[in-house]
Amino acid sequence: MRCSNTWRMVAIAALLSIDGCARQTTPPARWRVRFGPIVGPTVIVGHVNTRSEAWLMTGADSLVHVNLEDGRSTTTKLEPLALGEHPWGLALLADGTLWTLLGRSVLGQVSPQGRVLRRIPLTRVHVGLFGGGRQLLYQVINFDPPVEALLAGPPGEAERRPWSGMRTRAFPLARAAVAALNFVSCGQATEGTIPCWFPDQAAVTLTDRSGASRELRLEGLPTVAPEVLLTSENPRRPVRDALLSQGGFLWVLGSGTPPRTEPTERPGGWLLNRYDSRGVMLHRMQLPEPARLLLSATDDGCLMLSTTGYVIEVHP
Amino acid sequence: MGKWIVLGALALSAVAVTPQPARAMEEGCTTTLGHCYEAAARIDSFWWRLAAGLDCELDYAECVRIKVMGS
Repeated sequence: MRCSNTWRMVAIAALLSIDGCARQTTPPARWRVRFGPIVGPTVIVGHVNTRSEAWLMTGADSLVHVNLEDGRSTTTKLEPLALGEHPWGLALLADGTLWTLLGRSVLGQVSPQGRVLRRIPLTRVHVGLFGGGRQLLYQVINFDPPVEALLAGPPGEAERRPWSGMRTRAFPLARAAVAALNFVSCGQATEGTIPCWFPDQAAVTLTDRSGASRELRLEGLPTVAPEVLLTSENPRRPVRDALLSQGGFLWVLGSGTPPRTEPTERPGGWLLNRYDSRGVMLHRMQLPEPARLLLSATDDGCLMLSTTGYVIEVHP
Repeated sequence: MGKWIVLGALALSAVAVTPQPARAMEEGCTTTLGHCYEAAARIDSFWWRLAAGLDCELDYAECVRIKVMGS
C-alpha cells in the first residue's frame, strides 16, 4: 500500500513537471504598446528601416513613414501609377533613395513622400526587390531551378552579378508552384549583413557585403509541407521576418501556433525567437497578439508591428 | 491546346496530393490558375495560347506571393 502511494506521488510529480516544462519552453514575451495604430489591415508588400525610421509599402498603393523615436507616422498615396499598376517590394539604398517594383517589369524610384520620381523598364519579369547597401538585390522569376536566387546591381544598370549563395530548388510540383516556393524574402541589412530566406524553410542565409554567405538552420520554428504552404489561405510560415541586431543576435518572427483560446485564424506571427550568431536558439517567446513584421532590433529587445497596426516593444 | 490542358492537369494534380485540411482552406490562387489554364486552352492561335498560359502562371505566382511574402 505504501509502495503504491509512493508511485502515485511520483507519477503526479512527473506529470506536474512535464506540464511545467511544456510551459517553460514557450514563455510569454514582455509586450508593451509604444504607439499606433500606424497602418490599417491592408497587406504590407515591402518594408525597410533605419535605426530611427521605417517605411512600409502597402498593397493599397501607399507609403507609410514612421519615426520610431517620436511615434509620428504619415501615410501618402503612391503616385502617379498607371492603370492596374501596383508596387511590390521596397528597397532603401545607402544613398537614401527608395526603390520599388511597379508591376512586373518596371523599377521605380519613389520619394519619401510617395512620389514616383523615376521609372526604369526591366527586360524580364521581376518578383522581388531588396536593398543591399549601394546596390539593389533583384529576384527574377524562374521556372527552371537551380539558378541563383538573387542578382545584385545598381539601379538602372543592366549588368548584374549573382549575389549570395542562395540557389533556387526543384520540387515535384507544377512549374508555377516551383517558382512560388523559390520566392526569397530578405530582412533589413545590419552592418552590411542581410538575412534572406525561402518561404518553406526554417533557415536563413546571412550574406555580407562581399557576397559571402552562410546558411543558419534554425531550431524551434514549425514548418509545413510545401503543398500546404501554397494552398493555405493563411499559410504557417517558419520565418515571416528576420532582423539582425548590432551585437549579431538574430530575431526571427515565425507564424508559430496560435494559443488554444484564439477563436479565429488571424494572420501573423505568434512566435518570436532570438538566436546567437551560430544559430543557437537563446529565447523562444509566445506573443499575446500576432505580429506582422519586425521594425528594429537591439540585442535585448525589438520593435514589431502588430496585426492591429500598433508598434509594439518586446523583450524576452 | 493539348499542351495547356496537360499543364493545367499537372497544376491541379499538385493540389490533389495536398492534405484534406489544406484543401478545405484553398479557394484562391490554385483554383484561379485552373480556370485560367482552361480559358487559355480555348485560344486558337498557338502563340496567343502560349502567352496566355504564361500569364496564368505569373498571375498564380503573384497571388501566392502575397500569402508567402506579404506581411
